[in-house]
Amino acid sequence: MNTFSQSSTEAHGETHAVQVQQSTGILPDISSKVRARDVNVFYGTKQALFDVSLDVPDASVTAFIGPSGCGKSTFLRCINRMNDTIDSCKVTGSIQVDGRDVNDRAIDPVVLRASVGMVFQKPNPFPKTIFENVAYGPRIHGIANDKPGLERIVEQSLRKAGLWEEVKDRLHQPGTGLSGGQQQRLVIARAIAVNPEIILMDEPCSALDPIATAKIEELIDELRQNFCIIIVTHSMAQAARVSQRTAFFHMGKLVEAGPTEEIFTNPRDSRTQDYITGRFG
Amino acid sequence: MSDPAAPSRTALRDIVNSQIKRRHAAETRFRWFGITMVATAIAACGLLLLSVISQSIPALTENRLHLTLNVSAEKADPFGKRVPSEIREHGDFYGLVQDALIQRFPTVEADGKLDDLFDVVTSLAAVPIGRTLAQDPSLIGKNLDVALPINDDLDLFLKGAYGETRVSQGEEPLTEARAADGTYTLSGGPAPFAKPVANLRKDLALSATELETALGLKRQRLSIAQTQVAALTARVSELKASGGPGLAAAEALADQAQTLVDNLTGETEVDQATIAAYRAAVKGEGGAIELNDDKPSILVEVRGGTYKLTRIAPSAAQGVLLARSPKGASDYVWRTVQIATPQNGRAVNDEVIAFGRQLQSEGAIRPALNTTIFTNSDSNEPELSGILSALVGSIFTLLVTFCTAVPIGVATAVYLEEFAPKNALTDFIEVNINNLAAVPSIVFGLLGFAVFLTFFNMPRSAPIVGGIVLTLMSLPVIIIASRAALKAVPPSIREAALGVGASKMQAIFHHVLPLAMPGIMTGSILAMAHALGETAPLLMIGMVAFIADVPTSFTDSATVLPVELFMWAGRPERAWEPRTAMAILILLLFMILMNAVAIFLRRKFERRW
Repeated sequence: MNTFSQSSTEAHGETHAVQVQQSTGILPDISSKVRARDVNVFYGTKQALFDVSLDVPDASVTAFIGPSGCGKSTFLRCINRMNDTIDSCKVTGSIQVDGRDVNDRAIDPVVLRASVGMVFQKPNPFPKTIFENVAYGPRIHGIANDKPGLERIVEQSLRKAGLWEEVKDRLHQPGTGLSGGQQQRLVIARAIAVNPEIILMDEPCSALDPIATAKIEELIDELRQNFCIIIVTHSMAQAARVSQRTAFFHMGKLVEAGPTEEIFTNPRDSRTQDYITGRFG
Repeated sequence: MSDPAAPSRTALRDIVNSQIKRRHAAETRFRWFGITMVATAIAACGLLLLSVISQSIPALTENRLHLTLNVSAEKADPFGKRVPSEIREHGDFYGLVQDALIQRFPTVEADGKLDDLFDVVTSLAAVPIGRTLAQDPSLIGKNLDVALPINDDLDLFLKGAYGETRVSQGEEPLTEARAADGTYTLSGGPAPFAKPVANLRKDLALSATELETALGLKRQRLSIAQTQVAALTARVSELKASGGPGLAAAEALADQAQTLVDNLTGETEVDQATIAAYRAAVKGEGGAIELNDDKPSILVEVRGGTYKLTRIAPSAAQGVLLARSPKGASDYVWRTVQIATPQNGRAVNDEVIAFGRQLQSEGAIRPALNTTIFTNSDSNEPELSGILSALVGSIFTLLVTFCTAVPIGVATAVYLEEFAPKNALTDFIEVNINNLAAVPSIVFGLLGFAVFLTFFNMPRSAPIVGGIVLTLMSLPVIIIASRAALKAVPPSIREAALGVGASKMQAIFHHVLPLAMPGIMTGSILAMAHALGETAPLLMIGMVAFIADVPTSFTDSATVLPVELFMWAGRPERAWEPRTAMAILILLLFMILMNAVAIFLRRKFERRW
């Protein structure tokens, strides 16, 4: 049932069925891909996140849920330091990816983002060809410089994103000419082309129709084998469908985190209960 | 629902209905305001274009004199060295043209009209012949066909720009009889000149009326001046008696007023005499009319000779010979040419007109499309002037502007928009860039003069300095346009690039800048088009100059199209007017071309995201 804990158990020979019970009282765990401790985020003088501590395991899907403005996207953007682009944004606390603090001065955000890919709410392919979209990342990172190497990466990435069969005949047509769902898969292909450790997805399906959404969810389920995926979603059903673990945010605070099944069937906090049952949010 | 105070539904609907009429009326009114304004703008634009085009029509074609020169060695290369520089320097090419002209009118020297014949073509027009011969000295000793632009005023006359010219063909054969004093009497048939005389009377009557109106105004001024004189004289005598101060000043004023009165009196007397003479001529039905240079000219062309009439009656006329060409000797058809503008009122005299018309009727003067304006540079002679040097100057200047303004402007915009921290300093810079866009361009000219010419000692009148001054002027526009274009690129593109691990530089130069490029190019080209039309700042750095040679480098003296226009518009000869209008059209054409390129670029590279 809980694929994540099984795999992590196998990997480390330890049993950590539930890694994070609450925002307080965390058990140290070296198998966590992302480990956040006491993260506070300020936009100017306004505080958006309050003491968030969370562990995210590898090779699994973790869903962040919560009402609008609860800070889940903000937290997500802290993980690959996309918040750096906002001048007034200040982050305190520590976020470790593979045991290294992302806010460390020694960490170059460019290197960090190469290993922590991101998919956004609105499909945002570059207004270039499909090939160029996928090849851009590998090219700037120097992963493949010759054409055959690039072509191989592009094909692999598109295959992994489940888009290859649909676009293999028109790789040199603009990526913006694809449908919304295809564009989103193209963007996922672009993200996995640089072979990241983690893929952050910020409401990847909110601009898509149910069929495209189903495809993306299927894709997420497949990608889980090789990547640590964190997905922000407004759809409780989606969180229930694709994720193994769920974190519930409310008013900038992490209310509860745990195996998805547990959160949805037996939430500890009354706010989680209310949100899941649709009483607010 | 049951609230008794609330109006019923029908009442509500009535209120809405009563409002709706007003709302529709307001909308209609607004639409009509808009349509009226747009129509006014279009009409004004159309009027401007129409006026420029109609004024430029005379400059669309030019009359050229086609001559076959007998290139004699002693005139073209007096030292016989056949060296290009020697030929160019010592050759008498205008002499060759003069010889060819004399060949056409063999008796011109005896008639004493040599200078008038040579007035048909200016000496400067012969300069290109020297160039041709210097390039190919083997042409010396052979015959050379040339086509030369003719005297600008003759050109205008032949195009019909000098008032009304009536040409009527005579029916009965005309005979010429030479009197002892050298004048000729022309007669033939019962009344060969009935028609010209009738026309002349009409013209004279009209002129008399016009003069009379002018005279009335003059008389009013005279009476005012006389009153002033009387008053001033009284004051002078009063001051003399009292011995008060200001006597000298009052006397000077009185003197001035008296001079004015004298002048006006003289003028009114002359006018009165002219009117009386006109009236007398009109009244003398059947009698002869004396002609002079203050009356309309009448030329008679018969058998290759052109006579200027001094006295005309329906039955016969007296005149002097102006021109005689042997070619037309056997032609029995004769014509009278009536030129409504008196000779004293035009820049081209009857002699030159006579030669010009003869050359035209013989096919030696033919109109052609005006290419001189494109191939020549500035000249004192309108017929030899062109815009080439100014056009090349404009291109050089714009090249400098483009090469400096666009990189600096775009770089500044990228830095301010993408990299600069938002603080008081950048705010200050931003406000000032916006302010700079509104600074009068002459100020940039003054700055260029003070900094580049005086401080850096850069060459005067040079495209490099002009280009830099225009750069300063167009930078704010380019920066503002580029920043707007950068801002218009959706942040999702930036995030996408950053998300796959591009650095900020890479995200900007690989994705944001290419997407903003159409907007940047449009803004830059519009700024360039603006710079192309700029005059004021260039005046300050000496680009307002007579440039007869095409500039070949960025430091040569040069001028630009709008400045050339400005200079041409100030020159007195009438032929400059159509040429200036033509130059305006060429300038407008370049503007339209640049704007078209801007639109094309925008359409071509506009991308959707």
